[in-house]
Amino acid sequence: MLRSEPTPDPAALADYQRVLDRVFERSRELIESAPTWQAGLYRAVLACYTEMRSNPQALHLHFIATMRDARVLQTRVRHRDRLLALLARTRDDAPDSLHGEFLLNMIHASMRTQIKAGATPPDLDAAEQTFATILWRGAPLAR
Amino acid sequence: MSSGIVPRVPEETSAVGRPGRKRRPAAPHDVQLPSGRHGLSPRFVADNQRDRIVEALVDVVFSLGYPAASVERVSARAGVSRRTFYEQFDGKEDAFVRTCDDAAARLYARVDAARATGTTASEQLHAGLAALLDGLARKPRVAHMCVVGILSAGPAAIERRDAHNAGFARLLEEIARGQGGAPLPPLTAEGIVGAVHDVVYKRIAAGETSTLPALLDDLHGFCTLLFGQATDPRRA
Repeated sequence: MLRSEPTPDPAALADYQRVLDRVFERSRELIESAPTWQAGLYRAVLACYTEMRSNPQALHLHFIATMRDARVLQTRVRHRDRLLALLARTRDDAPDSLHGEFLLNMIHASMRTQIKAGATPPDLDAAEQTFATILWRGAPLAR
Repeated sequence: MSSGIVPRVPEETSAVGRPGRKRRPAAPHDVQLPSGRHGLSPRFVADNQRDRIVEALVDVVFSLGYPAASVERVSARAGVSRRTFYEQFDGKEDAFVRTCDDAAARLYARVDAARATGTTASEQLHAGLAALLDGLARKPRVAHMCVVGILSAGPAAIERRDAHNAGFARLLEEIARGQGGAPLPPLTAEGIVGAVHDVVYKRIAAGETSTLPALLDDLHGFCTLLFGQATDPRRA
């Protein structure tokens, strides 16, 4: 019989939101100072994953529970959307919002697959490779 | 006791009011069978009852959410007794999972048939994505139940959703290999399916299911960028 995963309690959700808020604040500077939008997103998702790796509960919510719990999913989606809005606000070369959404979704899905498959989350080198592959292969060469 | 027969996903014909409306859900008498002696075969009667239960479940989950979709409420909406419900399904979770399984199987068959009309991998991707987005938009209540409502339906439902997504990822791999191209790089198919799923989820949750077909060309373009090197043998 399948076991139901416990619903995240409000304190865990609040901690998760705080982690995302820290990531978002850091992303402002990273996206603004990057040479291209791809580089900006790359730095932002790397900062996010680095933060998540140091906080296993947030990592679990961000990559695993998000596919099982509507509140966690909504929290993550709000964070993704504000990151994309920040990108659009701060960079003239930003991709259109659907393209950015698709790339961030794909990065998330790829990382989720790796996290579910392994005993430990991928290290930063493996994660960097995933981010770079998707952001540069999945982006037009010129805009 | 479960009959073991796969339920038929209903057409989008009826709807219970959205939350907040004071409309009382009525049993779909137009599809209810006559009472007493009617000469209909037991199989026909059972199929009709099952279809009504599935339609009622989709309605109630869409309008009130999965937690509120009790067997009693769904049975009343379907115009069947609780006993009849349990003759068809093991419980509400079973009814939910089997309804989503059926919807996913139909959607997969639609996508697979559509992609077979394309010659190149790009054409197959385009045709398959078109069938997917159109199929979801045609049945918004079923799409809502199987993409959004499923998050409340328990671990069995989540596991089935993940299995359906894995099936679509395998189909993407097949499209890439079918044209003599190299296999997709690791995680590409899972990543694309996950990305499309999240794009679709956002629109369905926002009540924008009808807008999904308009995303076709953009989504096809993004997928092609990620797919390209693996599907063109000259570049592999």
